[in-house]
Amino acid sequence: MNPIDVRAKAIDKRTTLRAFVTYDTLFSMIVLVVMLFEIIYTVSTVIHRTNNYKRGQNILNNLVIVGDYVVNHCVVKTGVTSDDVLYPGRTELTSICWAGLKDRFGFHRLDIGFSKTDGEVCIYRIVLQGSSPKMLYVCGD
Amino acid sequence: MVKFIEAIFSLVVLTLLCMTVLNIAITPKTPRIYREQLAQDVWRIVQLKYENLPATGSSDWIKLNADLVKIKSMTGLCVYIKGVQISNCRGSSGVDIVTIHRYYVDYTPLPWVKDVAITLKREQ
Repeated sequence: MNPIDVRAKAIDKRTTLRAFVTYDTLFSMIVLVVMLFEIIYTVSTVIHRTNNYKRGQNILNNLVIVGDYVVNHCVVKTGVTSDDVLYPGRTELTSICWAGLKDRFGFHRLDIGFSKTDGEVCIYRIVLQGSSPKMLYVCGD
Repeated sequence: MVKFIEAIFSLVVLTLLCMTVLNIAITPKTPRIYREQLAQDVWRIVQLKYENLPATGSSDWIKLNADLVKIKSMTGLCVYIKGVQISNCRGSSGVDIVTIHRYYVDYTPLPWVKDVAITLKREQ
């Protein structure tokens, strides 16, 4: 074989090899970028979820406190006489009793009643209305 | 080509890991004190409506049973009151949520301090 041809072949082979290495790096870089976006998405989602969880847990804890206050101070003692021991008693459940709690616990909305409010976190307490057990919903957001 | 294959393999592993992390559901936990408050509500209903625990088989006992059945239909909670052997769920199946103990004075026939345990269960 002509020495010039041999040299040309060697150069050609080296160039091909170098191109191959470049493409390999290029493709793997694309994959790495995808991985980076995936990590960013996952971390941001986890942070968002954790914040929601903390907020939800905080609302739930506050609702438990408010619910206990309402059952013990707004329902049981209101209108209870010796003839009317069952609560809420003759006096209707009144929002005056828990008027200040909404701002104190930082609720945007606070609804307490015998029906559930949509779009809010709710807990319930079991109370007697008349002589029948009822669910008293304490909902807030 | 080796780097690319390694990167793809890493991507697959990372994707699986991310999917696992994202699938973990984190929901607010009901505080234990709230569960105790629900059990206390049941005891309060017994006290307010029947003054004390009605004797097993009495007419008040039957009414209490009906109240517990109503509570179950509303809340899905199984209530078991140890002392009068009353429950609104069949058998002892279900997961224990909370048990509270209360003391009361039973005046029939003579004043006597009695212990009552109220257990709330969630049916499986």
